[in-house]
Amino acid sequence: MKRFCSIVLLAAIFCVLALTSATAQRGASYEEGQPVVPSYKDFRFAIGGGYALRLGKIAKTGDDNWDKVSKKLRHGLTLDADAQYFFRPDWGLGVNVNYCTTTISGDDLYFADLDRTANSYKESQNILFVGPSYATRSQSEKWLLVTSVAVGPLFYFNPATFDGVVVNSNAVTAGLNLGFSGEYKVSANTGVGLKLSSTVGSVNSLKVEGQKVELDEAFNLSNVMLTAFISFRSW
Amino acid sequence: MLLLLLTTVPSFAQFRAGVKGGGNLSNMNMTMGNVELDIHDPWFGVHGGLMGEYMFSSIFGLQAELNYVFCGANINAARYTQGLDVPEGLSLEGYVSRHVFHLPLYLKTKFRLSENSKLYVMGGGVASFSPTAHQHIKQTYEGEYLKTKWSLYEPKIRILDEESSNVYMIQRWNVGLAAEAGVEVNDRMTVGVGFKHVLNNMSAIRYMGTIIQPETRMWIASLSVGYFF
Repeated sequence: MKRFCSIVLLAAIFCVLALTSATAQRGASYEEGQPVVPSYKDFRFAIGGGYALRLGKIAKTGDDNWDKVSKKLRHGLTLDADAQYFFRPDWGLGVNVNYCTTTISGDDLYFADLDRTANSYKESQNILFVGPSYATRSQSEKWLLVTSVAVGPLFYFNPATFDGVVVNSNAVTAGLNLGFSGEYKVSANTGVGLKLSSTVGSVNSLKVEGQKVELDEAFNLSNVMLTAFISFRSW
Repeated sequence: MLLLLLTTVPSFAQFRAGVKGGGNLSNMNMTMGNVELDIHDPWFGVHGGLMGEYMFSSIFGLQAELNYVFCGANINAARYTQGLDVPEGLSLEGYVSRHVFHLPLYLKTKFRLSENSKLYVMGGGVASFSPTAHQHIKQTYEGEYLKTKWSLYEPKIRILDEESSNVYMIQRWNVGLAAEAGVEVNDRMTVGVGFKHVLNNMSAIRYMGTIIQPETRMWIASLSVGYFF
């Protein structure tokens, strides 16, 4: 029995060794006895601008004049910049910066809290996102698709001017950004395209002229952006 | 225009495009009736944008840029309130901020410094358009403060219930001279120092309805880093 087991064990060892050498010859790509591992140092920078749609509900005040002005906060402009470093064929790391601004202005707006009507009122809500990103790419000879997901701080600035008097509000929170870019390769190093992206985040309090003010409900800073961009690639 | 130029890159090896950005120091000079008011001090801002270079030869060429510039000037409180009846204990600070788009066109020349670096010098003109500009004033008295802001493109200043003529009113379109010199490394990266000065009178108002018109001009000194693709 012992002799039988020894013969079986020896046979198994020989089989594994034979199988290993066959697998090694099939799996590796050799060049002069050394496997060739391609390296990527592909850099891409894109900058563009376009339209931003603010998400979240806009509270109704019951004042038609105010409600008409407030609706304009839904639509704004955006600037978006991306930089990516692809050190693998399909993915890389980078950074995304986007800035979204919406502005409203109106005359003869009544402020119930102050019991006063403003002859002129102007307010802009500005949201800045900066964050490191993970990006993937898929490309053909003439087209490039880049998707990215980024996490980082979301800065909110809200300067308001009431008959020339300025009141500033601001807040900071964590934000998440998702982006999908489709690009046409105009030349060896440049491209143009469209990007659809969204930044998500909300705050529960604001700092108004340095004083913290708790909000009754979360203030939504999320938006969806559609931008046209120009890009520069190193590959 | 830049997009069309980019599509022709394969045909013209001498053309290339890039991005540029950096910091700038700016100031305004204002005179009224031949009296220099000297109420502004230099102010730090930033700029960034696109550049396109077309070289006729290895030495001469043209460079055009489209830049966004955030510039302005600090307000010197002592000179700003000189001659005014200011209550004791009241302190004042302020600044002028302008968001401007610059379109400079340069004649460019390059000299080789070493195998990997060149010196470039360029000069030309700049057209600018400013969509928004404001003057900001913060008054502090006994621990309380009031911040006010008014547009530099409106003929009137309105603070709460008071209104007055805006003697600081300026115009949105301006032209000037521009120059820059720097170093280009490895035919890609550029580091340069630039200077722009508005040539026309920026003031857009006749003060007190008389023939006296303020004269306002601005200069911007910049330090830029660029990269050609």
